[in-house]
Amino acid sequence: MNEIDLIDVHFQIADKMIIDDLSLRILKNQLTCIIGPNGSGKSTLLQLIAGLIQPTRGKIKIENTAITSLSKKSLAKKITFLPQQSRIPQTLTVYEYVALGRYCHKSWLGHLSKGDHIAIQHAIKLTNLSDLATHEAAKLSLGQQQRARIALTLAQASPYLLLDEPMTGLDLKQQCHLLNLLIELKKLGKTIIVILHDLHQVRSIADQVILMKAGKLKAIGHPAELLNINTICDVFDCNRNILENAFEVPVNL
Amino acid sequence: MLNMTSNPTIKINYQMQTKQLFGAATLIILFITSLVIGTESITFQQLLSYITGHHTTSDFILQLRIHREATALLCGGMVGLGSAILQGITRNDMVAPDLTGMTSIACLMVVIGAYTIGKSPALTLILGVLGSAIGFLICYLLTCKRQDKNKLMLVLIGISISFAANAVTQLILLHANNELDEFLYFLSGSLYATTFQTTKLVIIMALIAIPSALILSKHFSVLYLDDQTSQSIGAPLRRLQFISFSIASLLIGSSICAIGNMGFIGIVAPNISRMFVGNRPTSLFILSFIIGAFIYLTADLIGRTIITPAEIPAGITANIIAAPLFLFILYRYFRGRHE
Repeated sequence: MNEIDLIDVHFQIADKMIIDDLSLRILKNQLTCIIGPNGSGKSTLLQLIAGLIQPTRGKIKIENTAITSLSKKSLAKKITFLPQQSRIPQTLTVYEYVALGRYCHKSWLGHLSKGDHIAIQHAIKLTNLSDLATHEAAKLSLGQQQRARIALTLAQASPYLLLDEPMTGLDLKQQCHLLNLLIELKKLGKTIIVILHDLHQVRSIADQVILMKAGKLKAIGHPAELLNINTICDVFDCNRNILENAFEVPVNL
Repeated sequence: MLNMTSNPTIKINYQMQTKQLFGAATLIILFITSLVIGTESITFQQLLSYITGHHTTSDFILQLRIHREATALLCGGMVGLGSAILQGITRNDMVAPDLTGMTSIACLMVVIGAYTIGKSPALTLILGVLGSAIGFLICYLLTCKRQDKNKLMLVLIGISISFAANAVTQLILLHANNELDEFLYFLSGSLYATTFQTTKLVIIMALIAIPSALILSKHFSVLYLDDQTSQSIGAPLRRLQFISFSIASLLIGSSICAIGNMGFIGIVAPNISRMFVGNRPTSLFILSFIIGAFIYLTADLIGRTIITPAEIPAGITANIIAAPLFLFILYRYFRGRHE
């Protein structure tokens, strides 16, 4: 079965251990959510899987191939990563910006094929940006810009999708839309790993939850098993009383 | 199916091409005009008969002028294009060859080469390209990790390097007792010293560097993205930066060898182009070339006709033309930042 494997992964900057001895397996065609407090190493974990940074120790394999042995283009054809923050270049239209996602599919002469255009249009349609395709991307509202970023990620058409807090800046409607989109994409055979902060959202879409704390894997498993008040209090170091209220009443939804 | 409405790039490409064609046509008209105007005027008939192979008495003047204007066109264009690439690599619209130490280090190395080894066009070219590469590298590496945080830093370090290098260049030129007088044009930028051999070398360099830049332009937009996004779409960021930097050094170094210090053209040409075509690399590169060439050709035309039979170095007139444009760009740049 095709999957992502992390074997004894360590990542440190100077003396600071960011990811500490982490081993896990992510199965194909699953929607995995990573949750944990700020600074627990969630984004670093995604960046490691995406191959943007190399582990200090340990191995990361995708479909039984070490990601270090793949070229940048072939890795991009397998894994696509949406960073937490990214800059949209000035003056490019939404269409031109999303087209950058096709980079790994282009030849060295750099022309967009008919297939590329179809993929771009499809990505724009999926993120509800069809009406804004000819607008300058950098001048859109924050939520619309975030949708353009997601569209760029989708245009890349890779089977593995890593999203670092994709809900940033999206209003409720667009958040619901994105949740639906993630479920749809999973049905289409994608493997999705996403960092979310809203536990209700996690519960409604996740097949698997990864709980992180201080660079370590705290727990991994089905949301129904893991998302209970005891684990969450433990992971987030929260006051039980306050969290209990918040947990019973769906504040964010 | 793909059509005009479903694929917005077709419409944008069409608009971009129209602007480039308009620019190219204007440039050709200016080129022909500068061939016929001069201390010795040449009629269009004479120009036509020269092109069709019928020889007349003014052949030599025309031949000289074609070389000179071709050098002006190519060098101005190459500086514009090279600067557009530099601005992309550094993600900084306020970068230009003379503001990053490229021009002054290149001039310095050429003058040192001529002083210690000897004068030859090929040596001048090699040292010029090498010098501009070294100048940019010093400047870039000194500010490397701080690019996005402090764009002014790069320019300030570049200016300091330029001052130091220019001082040494002047010292050597003074010390050489008129032996290196032909390199004085480096200080102000002029086509006066252009020889047939220089033109030939510039044409060869242009034939190598311009097509490479056009191929590069198809990949260049990923350099505008932040590092994480460009890596995650599979772009070989460091390799692209290195190739871009090499092409920019070729373009700028070889034109410095032919025309010396070209002042404001480097910063003005890409910024004016950006107003018309935005950050679309292919269009930006082509239009930067056209506008750079346009400014330098106009500067040379004015420089050699305004006080005939004497001449003002084209670098000086180019700066007079480009300075108000530069102020306009600065005004727009800072207004844009405050909005």
